[in-house]
Amino acid sequence: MLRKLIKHEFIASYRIYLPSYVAVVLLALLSVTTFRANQSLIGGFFMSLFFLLAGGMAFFTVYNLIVSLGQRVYGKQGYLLFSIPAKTWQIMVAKAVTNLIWIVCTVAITVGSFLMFTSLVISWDVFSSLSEVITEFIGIDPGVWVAMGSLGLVQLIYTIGFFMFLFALLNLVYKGEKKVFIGILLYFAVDYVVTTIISLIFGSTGMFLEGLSDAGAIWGSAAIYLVVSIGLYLLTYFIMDKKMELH
Amino acid sequence: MSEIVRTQYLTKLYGQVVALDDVNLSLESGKIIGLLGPNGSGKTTLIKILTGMSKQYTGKVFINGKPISNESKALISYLPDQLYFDPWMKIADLALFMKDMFADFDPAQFATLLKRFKIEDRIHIRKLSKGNQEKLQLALVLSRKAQFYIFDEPIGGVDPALRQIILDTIINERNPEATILLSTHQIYDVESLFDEVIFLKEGHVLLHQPTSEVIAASGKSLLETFKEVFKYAA
Repeated sequence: MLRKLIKHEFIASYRIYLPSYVAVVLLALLSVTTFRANQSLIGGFFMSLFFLLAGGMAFFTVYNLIVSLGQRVYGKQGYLLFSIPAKTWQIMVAKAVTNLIWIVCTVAITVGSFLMFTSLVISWDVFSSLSEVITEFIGIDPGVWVAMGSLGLVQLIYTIGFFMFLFALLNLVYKGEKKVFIGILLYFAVDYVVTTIISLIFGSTGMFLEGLSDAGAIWGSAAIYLVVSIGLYLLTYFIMDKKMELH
Repeated sequence: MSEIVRTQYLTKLYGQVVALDDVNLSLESGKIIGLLGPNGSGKTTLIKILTGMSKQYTGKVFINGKPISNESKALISYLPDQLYFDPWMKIADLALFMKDMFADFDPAQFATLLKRFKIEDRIHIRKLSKGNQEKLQLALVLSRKAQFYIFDEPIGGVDPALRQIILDTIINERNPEATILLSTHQIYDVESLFDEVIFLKEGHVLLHQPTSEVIAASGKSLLETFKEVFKYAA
């Protein structure tokens, strides 16, 4: 069932993500081509579009995250989603995995397009620069790379869990029509509460991390986010499994 | 006959408003049951609880002898009172979704119903009219060989021609061994369908009897009885 849920989550979202990826890459190529052909006016136009779209990818991803975890769970589409014989944890895992993969792809495509654009327009040898950076990092401590990657992954899992919990809580506490307004208020309230809990449990995060090695400090941050994420996912599971109410 | 649904002291509150109040029901398999009552009587609330869309209630609910779970959802084919399609969806996506999620979904039956409803299967759902979207949703529900069909207001707000198509399809295309629970407040053209009726008023079960007994006891049609019970009669 989990495999099928993930498959259909991808079917539900690829028509939104893939065209935007193609648009970003195409605009990067068009900008480069027109610039190289000394068509500075058209090139400038495409470049502006490219930067606008590349910058907008972050908002685009957050918007899709909201649609995937909010509207498609607690809106009318929820009547289809919750009529299927899937367990609550399977629905949650399918949503988390799919959104995680799309976020990673979005970052990769956006950064990749930007690097391609930069290397071709200003003739920056991006590959040798990257290899220098990588060599330098490897030279310092391979463990730092692993720790940074893990921290990034855990932060993404935390972000998805945060939105998942936010919408579950919104569904639990508010039945009215002003869902967007109340959702925004709830976002700041939950963010404040989570930050406060982190401070109370771990003291000042900075103090907690002080005295650790570079990699140790990064692992410490990852551990904090992981613990908070587990809490958010467990709360979301409880609300969805025991208290959910479609309107 | 076996029991497909049992509720014990089922109570549901929306804030201070009592939507269902100590509802005790036992529904037998293989029957067509009308869930009747005016707007706000608790029909949709009861259905949402049976289908697992609403989990905040007190009392007990059993489907086929077991509490509501993902297993009970596999037995139920549910037509909600609203359209649940995603705007991105094509009919083929929806058919694939149903085939993957429900072992009892019959693609051939779905294709037959689409043909009967004159709905092309290659187009985006958002391009269909509201009436065709309702028919599409009905086709999905009836393409399952489910043990228990639940229809929430399937004929509410549709024109008489479509209403007749919907009712004919429900009766002719259902799994003949299955139970049907059909909620409506428009009973003038559905009363002959029901083996049993449940009258629900302000969250209370006023009556749950075979239709023939209701008609025999009152000496009136189901519609007249309904009007009298709910004091709509002049």
